[in-house]
Amino acid sequence: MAQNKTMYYIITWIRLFFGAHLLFSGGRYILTGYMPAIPGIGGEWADANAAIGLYQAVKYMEFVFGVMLLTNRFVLLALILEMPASVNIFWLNTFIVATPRQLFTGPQELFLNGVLLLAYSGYLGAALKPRLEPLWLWNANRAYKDNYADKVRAEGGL
Amino acid sequence: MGKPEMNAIIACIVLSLAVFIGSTGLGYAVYRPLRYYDIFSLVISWAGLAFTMWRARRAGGTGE
Repeated sequence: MAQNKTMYYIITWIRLFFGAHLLFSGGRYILTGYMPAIPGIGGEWADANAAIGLYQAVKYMEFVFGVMLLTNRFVLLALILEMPASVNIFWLNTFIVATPRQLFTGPQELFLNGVLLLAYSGYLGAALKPRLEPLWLWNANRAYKDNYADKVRAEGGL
Repeated sequence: MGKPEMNAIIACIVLSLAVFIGSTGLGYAVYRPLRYYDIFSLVISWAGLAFTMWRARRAGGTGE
């Protein structure tokens, strides 16, 4: 199960909540084209995003990431790729729209994505070395060994 | 049910209350009923947590 069962269950709850949250948000847009009415310059920004197709791309991505979180597949990848959208939502809701309810939903988005990213980043932390040679994605097996950064550097990267 | 399960359930109730208050505006903004958006997410998260606990219990606490 886990070394800390309580935290494991809490993180599971948050993962499923955030996954369902993304799935609903993306799925609703895909099925109905729903866009929330956002007041002021925040709304203009969202409309501009929709005009260049970025809003739609984010909604389709949210749907896919929601499926990934709910099925517990490639969770860390989904969390990393969703983070830019979460930061945008946080910034828009908290500092631009800043109505009372948005002052909650903005930080909520960053909290959910951020806590999950922290919870799953133990793997990522192992890859964050101060000196890394370039290594193609398809050569990842070379990093599955102790002291891999020094070894790859000694052998030559890529 | 063991202590870790109880602690997790209490924590998730607190998180659910935060979601409820944040979404409805209870006590700090004009009240709005809980959206289907939040109901969907809460139902999925609680059902998933219950399933995870059931599966762990069935496996003798060594599941996953």
